[in-house]
Amino acid sequence: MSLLLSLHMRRGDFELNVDTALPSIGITAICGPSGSGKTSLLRCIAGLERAPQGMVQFCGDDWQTQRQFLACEQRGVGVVFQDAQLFPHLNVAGNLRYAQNRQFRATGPSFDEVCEWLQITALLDRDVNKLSGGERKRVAIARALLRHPQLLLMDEPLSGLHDTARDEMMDVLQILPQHLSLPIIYVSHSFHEISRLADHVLLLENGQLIAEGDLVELSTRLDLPLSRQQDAGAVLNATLVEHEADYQLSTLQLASGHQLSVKQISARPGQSVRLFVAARDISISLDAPTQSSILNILNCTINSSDTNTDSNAETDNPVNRSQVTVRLALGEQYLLARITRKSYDRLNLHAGQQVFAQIKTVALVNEYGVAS
Amino acid sequence: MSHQDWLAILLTLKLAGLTTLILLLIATPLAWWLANTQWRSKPLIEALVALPLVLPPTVLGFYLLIAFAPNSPIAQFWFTLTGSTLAFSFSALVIASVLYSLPFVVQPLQSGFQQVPKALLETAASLGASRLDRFASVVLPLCRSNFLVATTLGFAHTVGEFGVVLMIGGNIPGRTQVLSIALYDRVESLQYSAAHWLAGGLIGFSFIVLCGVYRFNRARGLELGSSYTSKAQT
Repeated sequence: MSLLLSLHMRRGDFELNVDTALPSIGITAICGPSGSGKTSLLRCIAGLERAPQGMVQFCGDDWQTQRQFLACEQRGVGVVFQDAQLFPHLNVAGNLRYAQNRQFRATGPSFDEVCEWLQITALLDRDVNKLSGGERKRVAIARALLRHPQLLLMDEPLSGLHDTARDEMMDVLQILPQHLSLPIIYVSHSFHEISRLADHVLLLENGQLIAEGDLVELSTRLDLPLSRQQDAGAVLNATLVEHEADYQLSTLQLASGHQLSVKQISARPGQSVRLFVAARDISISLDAPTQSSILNILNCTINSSDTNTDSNAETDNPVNRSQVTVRLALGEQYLLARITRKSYDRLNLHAGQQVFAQIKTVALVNEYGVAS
Repeated sequence: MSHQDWLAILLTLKLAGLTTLILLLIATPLAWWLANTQWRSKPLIEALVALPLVLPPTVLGFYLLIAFAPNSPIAQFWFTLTGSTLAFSFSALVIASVLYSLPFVVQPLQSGFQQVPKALLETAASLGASRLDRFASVVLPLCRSNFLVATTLGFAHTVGEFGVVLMIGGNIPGRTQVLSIALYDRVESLQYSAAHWLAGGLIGFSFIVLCGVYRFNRARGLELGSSYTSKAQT
């Protein structure tokens, strides 16, 4: 735990209150709906904004105390802004050199390495005004990396990209932590992005920190807004057991002993991987389906559901009234299943019941395991 | 053209050049401050700077004449500082020109500075650029055309001034007789052919300079326009 934050700020009706310590490795996501204070929090960390009652300390260095406030340019942070913010008077190479000429420290990736990771070598001579949205973001990330920062801050770096470009960018972002030994703080409202990228999550709502912890644990908590999202689902840690070469499948095992088959992956047996199972891809059956095309059928126990929680009444959303999200226990880990309220009542589901979860798709999130 | 005419042209160029240089040094920080300050009394300063735009030059000239009179505190301060008198001197012309042309330099700079997206400056800060570095590496290049306009207007306006100089400069050839005054002299004494040379020359010179500025700005405008409009900050 090495980024200590104590930030309190009031602006009109909005109030930001965050007291926490963030890990110094891996990707930490700051997640919340728009207006929840994510960007304000990031700007306070960067030194672009000053919370009057604030304290920021990074790896023992005071960035903000009662008496002093270190300016952004002295904090050694790399910032990737929402709109890329490339300098219009410089071309791509000029933008990168701007950062390279002002490096924070000597250790870090070289110019060529960064260009290769972000696939922008071919763009170096281009005018920044003639780049596509995705290209602009890649250049912005490369520029922030060439600063050789000790902390990388990213504010919705994928916003405004269409789906294909987004997925490509996520592939690029996913490999960054292996190349770099620096902590990344990633602001996003998209659970889809966070489930793929983050290790540690901070949930904000109306400027208040409502939950914080490991993504695997937070993703399936029904009391948190993550489980209410359209693309809600469970993040799971698993170990690769073996490859089924004939069928081009790989077998994975959860800590509870449950096994899952996924499309063949490149990891080696024994390696840990991270999976994502979307809530809408799970259906529940009371007895073991023997004649089903679905490969992954897991025997599990109903832990809880959001039928009776107050949160359901709060979110005045017709989708939520027709659907129920059920939390299923697989030992220490959990799955989320989103089924219709009608099925829930017809099967008379209740907590403690043994059921079978039929999983249509399992997405591999991260072949390289989690940093923490 | 007579020797005296050439002296007037030379003096005018010297006056305009020096004035423009001083103006850029004064107006750049002033315009930056005006573009960024949250101070509530900012309109007061803006109005003060803009006054020469609306006042007849003779008004400014009248007050400067009084301020530069040998027994005024300003003139005496100047005398202890430099050992020379201010009245009817070239220095007096420079001071008057700086005040008179100030809005023509401040305003284009201020509007340019205001257009530089704050987010770009924050980006530069996050990349390690100090305040001064940010100004030199981001603001200056983005406001190149504003500096060109400011320089041109400051220079041209000083070349064209008449009323203020008439009030405070006197008409000493080689010392305070500038082009516009020399032209007035020629017309007064019915030397129309000399007047034609001076007036026509000034028209030609101004026209060529302005053409150059507009051409440059058109090329720059196309290049910069897209980045300012489509990537508006949120």
